[in-house]
Amino acid sequence: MKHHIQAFLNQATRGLPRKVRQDVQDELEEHLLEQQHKFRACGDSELEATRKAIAYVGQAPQISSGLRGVHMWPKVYAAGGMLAVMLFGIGFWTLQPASLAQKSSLERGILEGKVTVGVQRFSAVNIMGLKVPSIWEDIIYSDGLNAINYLIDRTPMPKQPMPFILSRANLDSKGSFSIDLPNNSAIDSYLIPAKDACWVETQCNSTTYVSSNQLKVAMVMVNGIRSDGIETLSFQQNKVGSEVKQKGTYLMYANQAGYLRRHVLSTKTMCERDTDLKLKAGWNWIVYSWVEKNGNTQVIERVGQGGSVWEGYPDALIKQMENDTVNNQHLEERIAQRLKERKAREKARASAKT
Amino acid sequence: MSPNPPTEILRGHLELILLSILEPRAMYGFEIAKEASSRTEGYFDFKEGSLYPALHRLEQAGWLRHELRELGRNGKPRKYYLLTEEGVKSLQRKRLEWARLAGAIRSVGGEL
Repeated sequence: MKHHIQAFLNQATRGLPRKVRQDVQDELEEHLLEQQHKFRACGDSELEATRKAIAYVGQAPQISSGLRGVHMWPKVYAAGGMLAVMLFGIGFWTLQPASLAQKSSLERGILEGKVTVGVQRFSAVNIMGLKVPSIWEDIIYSDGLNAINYLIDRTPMPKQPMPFILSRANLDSKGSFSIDLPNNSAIDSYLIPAKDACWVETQCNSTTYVSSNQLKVAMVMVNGIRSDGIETLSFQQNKVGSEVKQKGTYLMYANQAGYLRRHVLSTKTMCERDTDLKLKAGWNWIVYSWVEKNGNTQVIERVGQGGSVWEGYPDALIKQMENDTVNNQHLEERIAQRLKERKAREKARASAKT
Repeated sequence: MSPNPPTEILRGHLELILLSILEPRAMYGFEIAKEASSRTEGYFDFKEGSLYPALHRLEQAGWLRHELRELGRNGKPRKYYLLTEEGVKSLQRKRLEWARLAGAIRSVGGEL
């Protein structure tokens, strides 16, 4: 039953600083075990007692939110303007049409100057990131962890998705993290332990091309909880500004080698795929979110150098990419190449450590 | 005693409740929840995830402090919360505020 409790603890303390998190986990664990003991004394099986204890203590996101309010926000407020500067200085990436400077945009990773993106709600960014040049944006936070944030690029998207990535850098050794999304944002972020990072893209057997007129405001969060071969997968579907939690079938969009793929995920298919996905306790997959073309579009204004406002691809480029995607040209080679590069990087890091 | 109080009422008086419970002696989280439930015959039932954030908030405010004492079921020291001097003063203030509020409600015809 320990993994159930640990999963709950991870969820309930998500986003807290590491030291605080451990203390709070100890405290909550003690509470859960006491509660579990109480139910056991009433004749419940260990499993049942654990379930009841977890249910009794409360909802993990609520606890997590309350604790973050105590332990995080005062510090965030205190950081004040400095944080804002770091937000804009380090944590922004903007997207440019591939024909212009897609790769350099990804590799630059730093946008200087002030950026205003409609209504925003920022908490933190990848302020500790050390960039590693690659076609993906790899940010090394600490040993064994990569927060990989990359743009939904080279994909025929609606004219005005949010061309930046923002993630909240509350990381810990369990690999959980959280993101506060601005309205109508486009996000594609993964947090993957470097040593066994495994891309969804390598596991796709079926691909559905999604044309731009099918894109909608949506974010799919897949929380994988897996421990010791026993897995519980929960799916959370978020619409911007609201959260719906339920099990079921959702669409996951992943950017694969510059292509947009649509995967239909369900509990069943996820379970079948979980080995491939290597989901572990406390992992979050923030898959993406963007705005519908004719819905609430985001007004993006940039002042300064180093970034760009994405105003959509030229029609000819969209057409070319559509053809390219449909034909699936060179995709496997690109994926193989990226995996090869990734392995090389991991090897280099490992040897650097030693 | 049931049902439980609306969340907003519980939240509004959480500090008073917790400080009152901890007034006689130090307790750890589970004990506090149990004590609150037991004293009020189940009316105050901390299961909404409000207990620990509130305890931590009070500690940050300087009204509570904690001590690590005997090992718990998880093999780690239990975290006992105690009132600080400031906490005692706050409790007195809050009791006074509550008495005034109760008096005011009575005076307009409300039953307490």
